[in-house]
Amino acid sequence: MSTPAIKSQPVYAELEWDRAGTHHILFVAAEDAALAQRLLSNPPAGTITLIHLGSASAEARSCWSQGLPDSALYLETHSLAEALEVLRDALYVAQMGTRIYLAGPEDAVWQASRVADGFGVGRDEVRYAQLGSKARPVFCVHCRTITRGVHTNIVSCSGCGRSLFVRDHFSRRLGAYMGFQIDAEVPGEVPAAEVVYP
Amino acid sequence: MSIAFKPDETFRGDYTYRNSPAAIRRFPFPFHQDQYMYSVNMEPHTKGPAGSVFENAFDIDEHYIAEMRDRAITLERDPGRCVSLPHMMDAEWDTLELIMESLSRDYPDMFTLAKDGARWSWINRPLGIEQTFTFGDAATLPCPPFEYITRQCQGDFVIMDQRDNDLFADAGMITSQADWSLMFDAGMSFMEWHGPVPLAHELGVFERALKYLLMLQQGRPVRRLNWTMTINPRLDTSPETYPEWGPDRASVTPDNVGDKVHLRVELQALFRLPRSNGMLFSIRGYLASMNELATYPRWAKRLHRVLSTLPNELAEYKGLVRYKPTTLEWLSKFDDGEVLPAGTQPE
Amino acid sequence: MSSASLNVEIRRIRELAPGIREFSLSRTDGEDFPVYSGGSHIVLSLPLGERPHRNPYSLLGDPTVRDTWRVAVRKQEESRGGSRWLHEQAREGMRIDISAPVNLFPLIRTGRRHILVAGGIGITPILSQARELARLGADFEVHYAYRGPEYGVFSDELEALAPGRVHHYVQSRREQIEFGSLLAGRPLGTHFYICGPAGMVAASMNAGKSLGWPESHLHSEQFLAPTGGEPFDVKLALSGKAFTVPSDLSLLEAIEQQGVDAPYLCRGGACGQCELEVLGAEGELIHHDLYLSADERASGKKIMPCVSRLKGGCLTLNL
Repeated sequence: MSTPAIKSQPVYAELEWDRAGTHHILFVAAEDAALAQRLLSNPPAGTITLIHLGSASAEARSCWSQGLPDSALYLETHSLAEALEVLRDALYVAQMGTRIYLAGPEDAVWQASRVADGFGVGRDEVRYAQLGSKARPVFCVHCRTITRGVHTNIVSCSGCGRSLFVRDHFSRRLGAYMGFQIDAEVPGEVPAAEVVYP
Repeated sequence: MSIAFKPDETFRGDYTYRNSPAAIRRFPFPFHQDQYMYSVNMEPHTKGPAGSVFENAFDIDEHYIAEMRDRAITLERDPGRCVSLPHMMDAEWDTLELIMESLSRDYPDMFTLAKDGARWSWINRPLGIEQTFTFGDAATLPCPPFEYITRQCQGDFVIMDQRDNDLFADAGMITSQADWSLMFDAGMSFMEWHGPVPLAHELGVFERALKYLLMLQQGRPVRRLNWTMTINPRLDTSPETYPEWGPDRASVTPDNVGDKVHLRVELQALFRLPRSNGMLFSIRGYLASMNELATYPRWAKRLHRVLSTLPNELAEYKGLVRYKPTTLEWLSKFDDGEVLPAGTQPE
Repeated sequence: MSSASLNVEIRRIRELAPGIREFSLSRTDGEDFPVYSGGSHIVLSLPLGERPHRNPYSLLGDPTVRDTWRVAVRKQEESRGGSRWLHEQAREGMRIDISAPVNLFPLIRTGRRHILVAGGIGITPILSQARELARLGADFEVHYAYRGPEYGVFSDELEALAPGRVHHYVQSRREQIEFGSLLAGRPLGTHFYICGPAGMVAASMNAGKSLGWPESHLHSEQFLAPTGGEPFDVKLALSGKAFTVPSDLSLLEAIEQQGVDAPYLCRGGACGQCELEVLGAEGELIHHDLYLSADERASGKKIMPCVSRLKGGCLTLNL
């Protein structure tokens, strides 16, 4: 875990159960067999609701569906929108004492975080983990479109087409990094984009 | 004393903004010493000398009418420059009350506030506004209370909500900023919001400032100065419009430095708000061109030294890199190496 | 840190219950009081002996009533301090100094539901919080515990604010708040606030934690420790002055009283401007500032006189 250059950039710790919690809602949008095994083989006290975002095509069973403790309710979903809807339903009936675990690529994690924010959840009730793709959601500060799945340090905005530099400055409310036009001072002076968020 | 407003000056297009000699003299030059570094340079925001920018809680000057028109233009183009999260309504009214009471007390010839219980009447003579409304009932104003009053007060404004031993930037009216985006930063914690500032985090500046501000008391506001540089007297140097003003940074030549390059100083003040227990952060900007500043050689010498010793990270962050050498060259004409005693005074 | 103070007259004293009095205060300059938020307190400076005694009390009235502030005081038998003076010496018409309001027990405005709990005289900040929540149209309930029926002193005011949402627990009837069940099964986004006897507060916090409530949703009233402390001696090496810092002055204020010009800015221990070099300290430096690093503190060479003090003998400063 490295120290971020900018304090707004999320820092992700190794995902652990918060055993002070009495209910646990785990939202996972990536496969990580080692993590699944580690978490599910040593479950905390209390109920567990596991919301899994799988691929649209029916592939092999997810690592998250294997070795589930008896206390766990497993909910399989096939799109991010569906997963967020299931999360919303789970939070609607959840009680104080619940801990929420959001794990996956940042785009899914922070869209789920916004859903939790809507329930008045505090920052000490949520754990975040970055799994799978390191791709960033990028908010264009000029046209306010979020371009998703960005792997490069410079990207063409899906809204206005400007070449955006992807900063480390991150907004939890928007669930995205800031992008601004890289060649604003000298139009046309756009360096070659490099893959930095694989 | 009434102010001779310059209602027609502009902060875009033909940039006709200029400071009168009196405005230059009261310019809040921020450099006490020949070097600059971040510090928790906060002091009580108490009444300063008559005529100074510190005289009143909210400073109104000759640019008032023109600045308010520029804000209206920016809001017309982009209503997202004013943001207020839903739990901030009490803080909005707190802000309206604080600004109306301050302006009517400090500038009675320009602003009048009359209260009959919750029925308030507000007169703003420079802008030709008369409004009767019910305090606490947003439906009796033409727009929400925070937007209403900050369309009538110079400076940018952020309202912070205090919770979990932190301050969250949950409302703002930001149309004349030093390159930060309210739409992006709204809702951030104190550390997140100041995340992009280099070096200061490592010095512990924000940690100390936050602890200090959490204890800020009602009726005991504090202030500090901050600064950057801007090409052309432009208020809207936002990330949103960077493509419009970014190219100006590449337009500085030895011949136009004096007119184009401006020192931009922010008089920042923080007020505890009574109903909401929130905090109003006012960011009152002042612009002076190099030619205007150099009418006081002491300031030109000081600025020359500050810029020539400025750490690269700060020059980068403040966006000075492209035109700093040209500006330094121009300022060097004024710097004879005289030892300057500490202090910000013009002479 | 000397707080901005207001001079007030005790306009009315009301006996609410045995050992509980309510004081109505008005400004002697005829001005309106400032507005305050629910949960705020003020500090009363009471003329006990040579130096004023400073006691904090919650403001319990309606903040929109700007000509009168109300506080309620329970007589603390075991203390020699302010509550006794207020019960035995205070008379209508007397004048005292009070501080501006400070809120260390604010409501969380992003909360979706609020549970307020008062034990005995702890009702005072809860009452102003309930008033604020009622004004905001928020979802809240109040649980009010007291010794006997005659001690439920603000029941009528509470009922008027939150009809049907006030629950009473009368100790003499063996009624007691069961925090385990009170806090169980609450929806996400609920906040809990309590002011009452230390044992009751601790019981509620323990119940909350064992149900998994996070700290950010459990709130209890706490008062600032007084900024003064024990007296100590000071020598200023450069100016040659020697004097004692009394308990109710800061080191910086005492230096200023000697006519010595010392630098300062924030007077709150944050800015670092007033840092002084310690040449010698017979005793322990008590650092209250936010500025010095752990290493600097350990060195014993620096002190921030606006908030920090010496415990023990004599402090020698390079000033």
